[in-house]
Amino acid sequence: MKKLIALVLAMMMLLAACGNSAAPAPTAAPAAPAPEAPAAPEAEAPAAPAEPVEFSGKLPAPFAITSCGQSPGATMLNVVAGQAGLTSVNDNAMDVSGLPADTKTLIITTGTSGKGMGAAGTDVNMELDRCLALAEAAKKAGMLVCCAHVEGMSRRTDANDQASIDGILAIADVVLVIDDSDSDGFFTNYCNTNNLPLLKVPVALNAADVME
Amino acid sequence: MKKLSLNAVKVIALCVIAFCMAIAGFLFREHRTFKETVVVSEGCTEVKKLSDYSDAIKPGSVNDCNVYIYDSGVEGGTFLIIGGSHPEEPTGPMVAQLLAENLKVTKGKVFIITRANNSASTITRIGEAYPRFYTLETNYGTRTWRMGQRHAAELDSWPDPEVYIHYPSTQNLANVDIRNLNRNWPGKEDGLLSERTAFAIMELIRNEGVDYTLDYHEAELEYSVENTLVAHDRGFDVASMVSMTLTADTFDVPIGMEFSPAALRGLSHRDIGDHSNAASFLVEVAEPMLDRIRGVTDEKLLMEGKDIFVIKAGEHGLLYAPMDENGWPIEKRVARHVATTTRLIEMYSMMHPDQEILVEGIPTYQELLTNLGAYYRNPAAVDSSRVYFD
Amino acid sequence: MLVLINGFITLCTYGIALFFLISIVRSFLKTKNVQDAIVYAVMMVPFILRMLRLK
Repeated sequence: MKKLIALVLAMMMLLAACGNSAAPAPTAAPAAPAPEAPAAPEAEAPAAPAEPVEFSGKLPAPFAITSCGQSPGATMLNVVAGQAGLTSVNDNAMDVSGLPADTKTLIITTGTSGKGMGAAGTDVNMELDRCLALAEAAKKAGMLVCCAHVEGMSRRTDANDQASIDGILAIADVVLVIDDSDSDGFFTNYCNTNNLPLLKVPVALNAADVME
Repeated sequence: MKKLSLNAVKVIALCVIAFCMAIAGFLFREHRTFKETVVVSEGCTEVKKLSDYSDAIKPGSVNDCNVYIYDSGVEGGTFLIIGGSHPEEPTGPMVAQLLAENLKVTKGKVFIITRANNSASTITRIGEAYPRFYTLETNYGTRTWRMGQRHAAELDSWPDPEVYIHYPSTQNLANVDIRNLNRNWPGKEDGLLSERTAFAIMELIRNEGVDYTLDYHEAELEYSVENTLVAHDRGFDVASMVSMTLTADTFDVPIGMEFSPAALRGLSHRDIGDHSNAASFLVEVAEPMLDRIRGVTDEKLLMEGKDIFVIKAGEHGLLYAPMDENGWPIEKRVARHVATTTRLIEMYSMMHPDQEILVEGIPTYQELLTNLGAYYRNPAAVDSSRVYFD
Repeated sequence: MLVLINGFITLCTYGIALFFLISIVRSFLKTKNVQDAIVYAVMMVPFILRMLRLK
């Protein structure tokens, strides 16, 4: 009797193990490998425009827009710019070689998405390396560099978000935020302290009001 | 004497368990066989069954759900609404049914599935004290829905494999997710129940030339993907506009946007898009009853969305959505999903004019906040040909 | 084909559950310990509910 019970238990385990496939279950297959993050820039920076771009109260197009943290803010600004009829390119993996030469303003949105970074095979440090190199190349080419945060306090929740914000603020020529992102006055205080122009709009949809 | 006493105990024990099983069995059976009423609007042109789209689902089987079709007859876009993927998230079927009962399409075509994973609605989560039903007071009386769980019922799909290997990506997922419709996309024709259900819906999408899909969900406030619209690559621009415009002009709590992660397989926002020409979207709203830290779990919590422990967590900034004494009532949750649906149709039509869909009859966000019950129709007041059962 | 195989596996699993139910019932009938009898009675419940396809 006991042997019979033991045999039945073994059968049950065997059936459960191959419960939904006739073929033996394959060994654990990893997910498709995520693409590598862009390497440190070795490509040449775009040539400097005829004159360095000066900030005159609005962000001048054409725009190159990327996200430091793989969150959708860059896509949102790109759509807003497109709807306003302004030339804009969005690439969340943009590196120095991908920066269009005719860009006048490089917009780097901040705030991170864990899922986005995981899916892209990157992390906040790699994102900062990429975006800081991009910003340096943009400045050498005379472009304006704008640090943007347009997704509100929901993208200011953890250390990654703050690292992204702090890193890009440090190299920004101008800052663009929505009211919710600055609900604690963080960006206002930073810009006042560091003498940076601050563009504040009610919601991301209104960003076109500060673009030309 | 001792022997008699032992036999008496055995008989009493059997009687007690028989009594308990009779009550429990009756309650389980009542829940499993309860039929929900759907009163389709006059704009509904046809009601098919999921088995009409694929032999993977047997006619009359538990997941052979209704597919409500609204065909304007005017060439335009095609949109599929998926409700009931996770029946423990009541806004899914509630929103899908509300649309089915009010929608009129004047250009393009809309398909509505109210109970995509019907099996999962016939059972509740073990050990979670879920109510069996939830109700809403309407203008004509009480409308009742089955409360369910995340996974198809074990009665319909058993046993689970030791490890669930997602088809066709071969990604390893939790074994119980073999019964989770939102981990089974794009499905498998000869798989287990949820895989076959996903496959049949994919056949609908491919054969009917669906241009975009929307899957309704709710999430606990402890979860980071909250009050957001998740979009497949094809839908990034549209989702951005939906998120920005709703946040700007309609919602008090912003609706975010997330990219569908390419590495996470089986979800509707990823694999519907990857295995068809459709742009797939998934929308989330807060549901405090799903939070692990909740207190008393009952219909009141489910419908009012107020829990003192979740509120306390909110005060300490431990949640991904705002939570206060107003909670997240069902009116607000349904209204958000309906508004998202309407805005998605508008934005998609604006950005893809060749796939334009024009609709009428859908109540506004404010109308639903104040009078949700008014938008569920009285089955006794219409012709019986417009009354269906899920 | 795979659907048939999965169906057969399900039937086998019900068969195993029935086997365990019978074993518990036999143990319930044989036992002379009151506490064990009560435990066996409670243990029967999920198996009976599954056999009757109620839960």
